[in-house]
Amino acid sequence: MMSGSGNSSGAASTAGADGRHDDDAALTELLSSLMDYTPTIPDELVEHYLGRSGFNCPDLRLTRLVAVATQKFISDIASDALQHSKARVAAPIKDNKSKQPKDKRLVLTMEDLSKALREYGVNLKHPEYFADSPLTGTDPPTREE
Amino acid sequence: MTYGGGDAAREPQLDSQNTLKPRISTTTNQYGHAVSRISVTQILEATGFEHSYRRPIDALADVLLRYISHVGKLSVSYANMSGRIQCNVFDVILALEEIASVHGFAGQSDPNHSLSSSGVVLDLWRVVGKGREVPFAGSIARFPVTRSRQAETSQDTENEVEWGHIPDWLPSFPDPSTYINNSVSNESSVPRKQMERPHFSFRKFFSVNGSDGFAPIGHTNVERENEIVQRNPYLVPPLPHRERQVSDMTIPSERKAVSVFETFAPVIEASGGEIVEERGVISNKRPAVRFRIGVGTKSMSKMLSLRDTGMKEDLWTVKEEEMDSKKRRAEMILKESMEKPNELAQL
Repeated sequence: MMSGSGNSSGAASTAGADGRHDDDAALTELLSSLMDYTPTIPDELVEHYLGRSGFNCPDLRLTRLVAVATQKFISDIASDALQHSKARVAAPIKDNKSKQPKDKRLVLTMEDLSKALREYGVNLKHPEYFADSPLTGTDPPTREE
Repeated sequence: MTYGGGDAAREPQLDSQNTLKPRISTTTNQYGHAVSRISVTQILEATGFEHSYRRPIDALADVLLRYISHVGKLSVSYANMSGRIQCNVFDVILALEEIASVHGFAGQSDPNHSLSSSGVVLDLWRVVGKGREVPFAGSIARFPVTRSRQAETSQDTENEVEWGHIPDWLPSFPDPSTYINNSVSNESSVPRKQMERPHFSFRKFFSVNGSDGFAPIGHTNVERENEIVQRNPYLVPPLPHRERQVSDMTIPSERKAVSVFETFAPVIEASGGEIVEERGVISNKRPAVRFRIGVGTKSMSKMLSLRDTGMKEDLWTVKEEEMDSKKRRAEMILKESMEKPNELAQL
């Protein structure tokens, strides 16, 4: 699947054989190291969902490439959400009279996640409440999300 | 890392806070969703989160699956644009660049940048090169798992010729004796065979289920018919005329008209039945219903009773002696009707 020297996409590389070699080095090394690296997302899952989209490729390295790309995507979102969560924890408490100490645990909430996803173009709107129980709308902080 | 709850159930269940859990639609999606949830949890743990609620993990798992599908779709579209049906690495890189173009990557502004050293490739190389791999917890089999077809053991497969160009999943050819007629020439049998090739074998289908009611016409002979008859009583051919002696049906002769009066004789007697004893057979006319017209109007009741007897004489020209006897009878009827109001309608 990987052409050693030619680029079938048609994008022109930098002039000279050395430049071309440098350009391909990153990709070559990436593909060769993919067989040693095990992504967190299993290959069977990625293969199934790629197959559902019409992706047809017998080369396992491409599947691993997509798995690594997906893992990077999710970890970027997670780190952004972590930043938001840390910012919330570090924010000064408005009500100084409260005896509760600020919760130091790092918990992923829908609010942090929706803020992080918005930058990636994913709209995740969590409704405030579902009107399906008598406790709806009462005392939001004590209700679990 | 603590996890907010159990596995997603097929039916909505109530958790401790009385909120409904979301329902996952199909089994394949459910399985893929569950596996991706595990991966998401591992990634979150590697990122630094200690705890999480259930809904953000479900949302991220959904995002993960959508991302994979999106990359696949874009890669396929790039391959198709290049006139190929199989994707290669550059199609994948182009797809990743398109997704990353929203956020931006190194070298995006250069229209002539090399794909091999694209910003996305360098980012991925950074991820892989760090070596902090977190393998998936556990191993999963390839899915979806397709059930293997049961080998057909009917007699048709004995005569099956292995055609290389015909896929196995097509139904087998019908028995040649069903369509090859000895009286017909060979040329006409060939197109018939081709015509019947995709024919669904009802016989085979129903023979599996145990009933032979749909045997093709050309296939039956006398023995097979008897066989069918022995098995299925509903397929017994009708008996020819007079084969079985059946007793003649006796049609009852014309009966005499039932005399209601005979049956109700005791009732009528009790109420003074001399009025109706002249009548033998019920007329076709509907009998009148005796109304309770009131105690004082004796003449009206008398008129009604006289009408029942079918007398056509003018009431007002009846002689006085007859009037007296009839008057007495009318009084009796009245008295009777007052005593037993339920038996007014005697007819």
